[in-house]
Amino acid sequence: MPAWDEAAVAGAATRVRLSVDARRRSGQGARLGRGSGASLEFQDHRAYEPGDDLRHLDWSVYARTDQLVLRRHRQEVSPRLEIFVDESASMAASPAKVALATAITALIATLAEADGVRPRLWLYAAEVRRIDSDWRAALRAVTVAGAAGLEAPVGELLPGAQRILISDGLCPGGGAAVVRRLGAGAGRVCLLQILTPEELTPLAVGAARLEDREGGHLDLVLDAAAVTAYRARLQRHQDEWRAALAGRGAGLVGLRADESLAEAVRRLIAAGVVEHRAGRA
Amino acid sequence: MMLALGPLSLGPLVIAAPWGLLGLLMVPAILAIHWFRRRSPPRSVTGLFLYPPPVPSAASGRRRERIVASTSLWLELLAALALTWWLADVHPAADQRGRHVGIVLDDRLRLTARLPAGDSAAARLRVRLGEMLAGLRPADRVTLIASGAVPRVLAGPAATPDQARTALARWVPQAPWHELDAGLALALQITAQSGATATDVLLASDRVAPDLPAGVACVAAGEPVAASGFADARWLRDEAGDRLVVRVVASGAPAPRRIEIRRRGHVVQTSAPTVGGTSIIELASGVGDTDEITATLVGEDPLPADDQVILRRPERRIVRIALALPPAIQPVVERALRGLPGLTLNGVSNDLLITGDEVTTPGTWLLRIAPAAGSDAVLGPFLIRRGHPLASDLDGTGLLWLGGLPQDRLPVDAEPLISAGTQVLLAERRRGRDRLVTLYADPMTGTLAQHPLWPALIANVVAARRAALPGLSEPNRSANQTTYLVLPPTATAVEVCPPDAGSEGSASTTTVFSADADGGVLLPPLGQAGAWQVKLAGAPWQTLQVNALDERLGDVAGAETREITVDTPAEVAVERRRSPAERLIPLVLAALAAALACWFWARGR
Repeated sequence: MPAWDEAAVAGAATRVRLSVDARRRSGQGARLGRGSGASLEFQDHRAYEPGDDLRHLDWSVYARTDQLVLRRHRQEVSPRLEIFVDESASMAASPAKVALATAITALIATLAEADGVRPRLWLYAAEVRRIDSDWRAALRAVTVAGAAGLEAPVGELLPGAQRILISDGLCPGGGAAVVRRLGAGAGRVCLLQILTPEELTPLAVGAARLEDREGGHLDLVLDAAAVTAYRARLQRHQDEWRAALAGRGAGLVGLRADESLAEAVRRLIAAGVVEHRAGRA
Repeated sequence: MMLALGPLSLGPLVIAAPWGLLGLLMVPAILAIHWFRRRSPPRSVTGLFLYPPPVPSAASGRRRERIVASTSLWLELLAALALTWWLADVHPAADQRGRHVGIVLDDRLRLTARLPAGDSAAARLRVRLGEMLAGLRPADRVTLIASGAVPRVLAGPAATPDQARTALARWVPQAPWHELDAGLALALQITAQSGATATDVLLASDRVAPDLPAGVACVAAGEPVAASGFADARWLRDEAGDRLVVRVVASGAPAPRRIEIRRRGHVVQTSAPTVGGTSIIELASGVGDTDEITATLVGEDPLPADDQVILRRPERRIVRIALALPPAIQPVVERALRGLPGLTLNGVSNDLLITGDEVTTPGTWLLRIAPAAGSDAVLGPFLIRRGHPLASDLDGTGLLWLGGLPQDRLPVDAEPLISAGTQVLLAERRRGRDRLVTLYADPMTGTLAQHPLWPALIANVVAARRAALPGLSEPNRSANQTTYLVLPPTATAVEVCPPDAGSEGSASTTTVFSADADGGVLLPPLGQAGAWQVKLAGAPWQTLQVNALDERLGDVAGAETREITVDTPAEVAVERRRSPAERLIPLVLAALAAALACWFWARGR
């Protein structure tokens, strides 16, 4: 993969941070989660229920009202992040596609490190490789080649981790199987789908032999009717992804390969994958 | 061999070059290429599973596949059709029909005479004919011919009216006197080749020609004015010395004019004024001791072209004669030679040897006086070969001839010139350029030595020998006269260069003439005034001065303004000339379509 624009990524990293859904997280961390926890920051009160920790009873309220009321505090979370980067040959459809995928990966990994989280990187094409150490070196070293590996089995995943899949998502089997596998025990799962303009709307070039970068060919008259059919099939494919990702977070976030990193970040913000840092909105 | 195909008429359209229709073969070729391309061009994609499967076709039977009508295909077909249009020259049939007008311009110098209005007949003709040409359609054709002994085609054959107008604007009469017949004949011939009738020929002159062929139109734009000029001029050299004889002819009202003789730029003599009509003036003072004389008519004259002549000094053509005769005969021969000019008698001859023996000396003519023994005396009648230079003006009336040779003893290569009965009296034999003239006679007996035929015969031999000497017979000629010259014995061809040889727009070109068996060359009328160079093997040898001399040349008094029109001739098939736009538009269209097709094709890939 080509080197990404370090300056652009660093600039974007100063403006946004990862969104974290603490309700689906566990463990202590440096960030306040959305759920109740054991931090010093007061959240609210609720009625006592048998089995609640008596240490959290608000005795002052009991003294005034004779009611057992539990005092709740904000939860402190430590997010876990796993990034799955597609390095199959389809990602080399255009240099811009590779460049944007790399930059988005680097941005998310950088944001995770800024939150004190060591990101776990999964690179996969024909086979899946887990990168635990220097993700930058690993990201620079990979080359896009081989068949799609979205459906390949992966190793042990971090329970409750937020999982971000950066890919074109063009797997013939559809997104449901992928989401089932990656979503097991996950906090959130989303797909950042990067497509080139021609992958969105192919040119009507007439008769041609279509050769897939990852294997196979098809003799087809690529006219306006064929383009319309392609777009409909692509829409159905994306709907399958969206259905599979429903209730798991940001869902499918569509990115165009010919867009800038800044525009892609705006889309990620709109989708809730990242959020503005306080005072930076 | 390529089959020639003429223009093909398809109703309102004409295909000028039917072979160009072969360009249509590009259409199926392009379609085949596209049909083949639709099956083969690879295109790299991702997500192949998203593309719709191809429409299933019949498993057996005829399989018809559609060619995709892409922009590139349409542009390629357009380029092919445009190229075919250009190759086949498809054009409306109206462009193939038109008039073919042959215009003969009177190129004689008298059309440059200044008229009272300050212009000339030539200038008026340029205007009038320009208007006529402007009225022609672009499909009409014009052949513009300048008259002359050898007519010049100024535009055409079958030029467009615009081309003819351009040539007409450059036309300036420049030829000496000549007849118009050759130009008219050429115009009639050229227009007849295209199917036009004689009515399509127009003569443009300063007067209506009296012998204008029937059906030929005429535009005369002259105006009568009085003029005078040289009609003839000669440099004479004889025993009396050098002198000039000129003839001045005035037409219209007489105008007194003087003649100035200039030698090396200086006036050496001035004549008394002429009085009109025809004046013959002989000028002797100041002539001689120079190679070139200029005679100029001084005084107001509308036509300066015939007011000056340049004359070159003629060479004296001396015949060197040697006598080797018996003492009894020699005085008789010497007496006959004594009265002849232009000869020298010496013992070592280079030109003519008169002897009684048969000897051969290359480069020397031989007059052999050899009476045959035992022959009878003849009184006539004498059969004389009329027209032969040696027998010219001979009359044997009253002559008693002795020594004739019986005809059966005459050498087979001898040509009898004078004979009587069965006897040959004078015969000639040729040995290359040399001649052996044998006189079978005894001048001392009979009456030959006392008869007028004797000195006339000797004079003919000397004159013939003089005419055969190398060089020009006359260095000053009129432009419409022929010129005879004899080459040196070693030369076989001569190069004749016009006065303005090598300059752009020269009316004449350098011509090489081959000599005949006698080494003679007869030059046709040279038609252009000036000093012509005669060269041998590329080196200058002689100079021939040509002057525009003819009394009709200066006759401007008979000019008139008149037009003789004829019925408008029918249109004929004319050769089509494509205009620059007609040439460029199909080519530009083809190139543009091809370039756009390439662009669309590359963009599609």
